[in-house]
Amino acid sequence: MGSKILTLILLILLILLISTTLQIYEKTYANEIYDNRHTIGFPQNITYTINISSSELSEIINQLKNIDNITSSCKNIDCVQNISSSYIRSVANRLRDEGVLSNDAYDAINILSNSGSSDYKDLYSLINDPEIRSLLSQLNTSDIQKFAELANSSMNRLMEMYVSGRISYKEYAAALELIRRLALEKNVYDIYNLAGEREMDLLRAIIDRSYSDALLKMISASKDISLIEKGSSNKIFVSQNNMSGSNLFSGFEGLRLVQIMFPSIPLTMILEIAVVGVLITLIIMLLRLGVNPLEKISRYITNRGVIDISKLSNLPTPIKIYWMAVSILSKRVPRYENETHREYLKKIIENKDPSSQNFSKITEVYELTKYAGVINKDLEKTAEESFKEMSRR
Amino acid sequence: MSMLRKILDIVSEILIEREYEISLLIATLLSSGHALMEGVPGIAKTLTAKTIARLFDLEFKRIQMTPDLLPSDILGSYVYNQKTGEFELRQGPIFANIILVDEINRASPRTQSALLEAMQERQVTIEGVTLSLKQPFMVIATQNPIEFEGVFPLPEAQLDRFLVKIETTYPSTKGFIKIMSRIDEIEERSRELKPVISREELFQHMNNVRNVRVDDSIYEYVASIVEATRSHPAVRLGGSPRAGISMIRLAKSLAYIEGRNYVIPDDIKRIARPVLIHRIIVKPEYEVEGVRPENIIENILSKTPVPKP
Repeated sequence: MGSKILTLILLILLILLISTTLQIYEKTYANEIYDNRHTIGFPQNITYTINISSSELSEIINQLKNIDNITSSCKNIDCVQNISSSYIRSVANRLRDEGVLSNDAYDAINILSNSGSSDYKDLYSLINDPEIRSLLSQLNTSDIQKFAELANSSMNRLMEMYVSGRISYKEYAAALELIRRLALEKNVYDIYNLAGEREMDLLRAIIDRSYSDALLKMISASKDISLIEKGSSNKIFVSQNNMSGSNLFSGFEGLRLVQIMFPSIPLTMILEIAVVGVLITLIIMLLRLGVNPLEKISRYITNRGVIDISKLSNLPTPIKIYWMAVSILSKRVPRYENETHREYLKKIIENKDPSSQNFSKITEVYELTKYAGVINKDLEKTAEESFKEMSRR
Repeated sequence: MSMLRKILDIVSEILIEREYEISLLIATLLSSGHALMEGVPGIAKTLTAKTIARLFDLEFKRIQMTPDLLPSDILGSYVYNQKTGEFELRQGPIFANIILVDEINRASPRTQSALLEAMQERQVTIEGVTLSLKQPFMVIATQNPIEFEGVFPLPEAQLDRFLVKIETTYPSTKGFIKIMSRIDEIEERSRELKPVISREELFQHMNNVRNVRVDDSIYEYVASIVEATRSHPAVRLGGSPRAGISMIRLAKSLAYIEGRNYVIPDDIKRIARPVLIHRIIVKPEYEVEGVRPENIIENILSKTPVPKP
């Protein structure tokens, strides 16, 4: 019956612990900034409600959507430069102000969308890599026959360097623009078109990356993010407080942001869950094994296996000595009421107590005196000497 | 060298990983008690009993219990001799020193009752003539714990007549491999086994066991354990005074075969389970929760204070 009550108390304590932990989690972490990582094993179907102006959000989304449409419809950079260079630059300005576009990417967009506004010198000055500078110098001085071949190999080399991350957006854009202009001067239109296509690819890549960064930064920057479980939904979407449930990304499939918008669970929370889990498992295992942890603790504290030495006055000396030795040793190794003298000795030996050898002799004499009824002076002497030796240690 | 050590050294070559069972059976024999061995078929229960009989130079008989077995098949009966024209007693297998009663729960209650009465009284009455059984007299009964059909479980009152219930288990993997690899050698050694303790020596040892010292605190310890089995909330029927007497007897024998002439609380703890396990009946509501007599014994031993000071 006692064990059942104890189990009930422990269960109540565990429930309280778990609920408190969850409340702390909700209050501490739910209002904090989320980063763009998904913790494996945790639910992905969560709705974010973010507190930013609906008009501001719509405007940015629409601008991004327009640029996506422009870059999708244009094959060559000429198309962008002729149609919407100013619009792209204004959006780039806005994104840079929001902190979602790096200076490097911003400069690259400006180079790509700003045909003719920068002269050769300015563009060349943007390139720091000596290899590119050398390649461009060679292209500048080469004759028309060699230009095409050299420009092709130079663009391939530039691509390799860009992909490997050796050069920045800005350097890549400037180099391509220079090659394009040189090709136009030398009337090598194949190279001119190829360089334009490469520039277009670069612009698309920058815009694509900007989408993700912009939206994630906007979500991160929002002050009040609450988690709402939506068990039935398989989608994740961003909504406003006053527009709960509406999907602002509908019709904007190209974003592909869903995969990276899952919340991460803070490490401390995972640790808390792990600790609670381990505790629950341990307690259940102990209870199943018939070990009552509270009883063990209370027995350890009260140490009831030790006898009051003042009550031993009429007993034979070896018995008195044994219980005196127990009273000393039990401070280091507790003795329980249900433990026999041999069991306690075994425990002392297993604990590698320095007094184990002397206590072994005392126990042997105690057993003979108490249970075999042997009382003689030699045994008393052995017990006394062993006790003295034990006390010195 | 203690008596047990001497025997264990010999039987360890024949009975692999059966030291616990052997020590309990010898202690039961020295205590003039009977043992109930519970275990699945094929774990050397018969061989164990036979080996004990041979080591002590005692007469051994085996009875395979079946539902149609009659009391007279065990005890014996008077048969008419045509030559002499008189009725002569034909003794049943119960007239031996060690009797292995295989699958005791397969016999009808009437036959079981006749056997158990003989175990208790150590004498039988056949057609009005009372005959004493051989001394020493020990019944080693076996039963299969997993059979429920075609069996007649022993009533609690009759279970109480067994001094101990020995739960025989399978050997470990290592032991099992040892048995398989050395089975021919084991069988040969078993056949060639010679008595190591004569009948007279055995009687002397039995007499010595009676003189083993039991401190008053040990009696108090045993009493508190047995009484705790009765007051335990999960127990419907606890240990009887006979259970306490059995504990003391078995503890004395165990102490003796270990070379001591006094009982210590450790002996009581060791024999508590085999002596009490078949004497405790758990309440049905606890039984369905998985509470077993062995759990109750463990629980009681963990709470009962050992003698002090």
